[in-house]
Amino acid sequence: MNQFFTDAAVNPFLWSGLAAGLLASISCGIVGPYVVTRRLLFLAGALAHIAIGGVGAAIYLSTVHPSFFGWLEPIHGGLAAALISAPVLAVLKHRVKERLDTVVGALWAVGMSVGILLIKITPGYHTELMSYLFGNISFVTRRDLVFLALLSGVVILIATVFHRRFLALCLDSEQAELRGIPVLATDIVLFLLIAATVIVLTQIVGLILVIALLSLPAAIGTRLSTRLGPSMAVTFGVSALVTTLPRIAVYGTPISPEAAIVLATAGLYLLVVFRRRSDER
Amino acid sequence: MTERLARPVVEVADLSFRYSRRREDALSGVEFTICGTEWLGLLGPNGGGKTTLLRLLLGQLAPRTGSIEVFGGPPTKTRRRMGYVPQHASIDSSVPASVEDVVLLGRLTKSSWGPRYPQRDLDLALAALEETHTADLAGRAWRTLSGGQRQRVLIARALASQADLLLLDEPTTGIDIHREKELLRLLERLNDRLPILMVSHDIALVSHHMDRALWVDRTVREIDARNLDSDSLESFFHGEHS
Repeated sequence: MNQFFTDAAVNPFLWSGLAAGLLASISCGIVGPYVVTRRLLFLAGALAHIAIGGVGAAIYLSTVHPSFFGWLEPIHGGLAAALISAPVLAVLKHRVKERLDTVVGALWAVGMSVGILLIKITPGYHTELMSYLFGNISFVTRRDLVFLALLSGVVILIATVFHRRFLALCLDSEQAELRGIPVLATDIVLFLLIAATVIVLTQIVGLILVIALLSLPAAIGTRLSTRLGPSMAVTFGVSALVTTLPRIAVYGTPISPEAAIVLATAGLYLLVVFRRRSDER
Repeated sequence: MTERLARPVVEVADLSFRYSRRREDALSGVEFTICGTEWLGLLGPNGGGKTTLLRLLLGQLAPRTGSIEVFGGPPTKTRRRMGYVPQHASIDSSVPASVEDVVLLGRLTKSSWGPRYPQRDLDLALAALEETHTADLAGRAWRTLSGGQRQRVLIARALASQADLLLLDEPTTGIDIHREKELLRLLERLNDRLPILMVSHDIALVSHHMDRALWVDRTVREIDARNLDSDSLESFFHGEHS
């Protein structure tokens, strides 16, 4: 642990990684409880995987047409793909009454396939996909931090404005509809927030582990709270804790910090579950 | 003014409804009215169309033929004046929410933006909780309430919306006899000022509290609730009444 702080004095990337974790915890704290209580994890997983198509497109365009798209980062492509597919998934959730999982699963696979195909035909070797898949918390740049901060700000703003409507949909969407709330339109906004959060979290732990960070802190937060607002605060706290301490603890060891973050979160979740069970007995 | 007051609360004429991709009507030839502060029961076999009729009245479904007027207008325009009390299972218990959060759903409107409800909404929610004798539960987590408490809170939610008509879907299902009596006393009190339309399978409840009921089995037939007993209900089930 000491080595982390010693190296941090000369390596600003270590602080950037921690800052990125804290920024991601904001989105995770706000959006995670909505995802968990609305049981939208499968759809969030689909968003993350469809985003690979956008990552592939960004890598292809920036490599093949650098004069036009040289500025394009893989994360921009991922965000665009996730934001475009979010309303589609929201509409499918409302309109497809049977076999929704099959339709969403197909989109999930198609998004991934497009991404892999585009990367395969892009000249040269590209490590960006690896950092998208497995995270890259050790090399978060100042530019990444600005991007994360902007995205987190948008998530906070929209969630604040829509909170009462989102809560109504979590509790009783039928009542919300009877009270004149446009349920589909509200869900589209929520799905856009989920898409933005998935992309933010991908920056921290990578696509493979993003669902763990989106669900487990929120599962802890919603278990320990009796209202949605406080559960968001708890979720933020848990996310901030698990994106910081394990990262510091495994520094200088062969253990991947991204894996350490998720394993620590899962451990904390199990602890809360067993603690609550023993309290209830 | 007198004419306006005398107008039925609910007026259904020659109504039929069919679900998409079905060959037969779920309901047809439906005609009835609700006037004043009537307490009307909806009885009938499972799949007979009781819930469909409630959804038509709430404007969630559109009739194939005929008309529905509630407070003199189509349900889609007037449903904010209706307080719908579903079976308590319709609220997701896994969501961390307090009783107050649930009741405040009755204050939700198209212009509800931002994280907090205005003070007036909070006051109306508290008044509704007091009217249903559940004010002491306001801060409790919804998931910790019993079935009887939940039904009272859902009625409070309908009252918080300042409803002029209560629509209840089997409100006594799954609650013990003591809580059921409490709930019915509450509904009796509310019925002094509000008309109530209530789905129920309980003959004793309907015959004790209501003068009139509707037998819903693909169509609607008006029945005298005061003389209702298990034998007469049995004959309705076998379609012997004409």
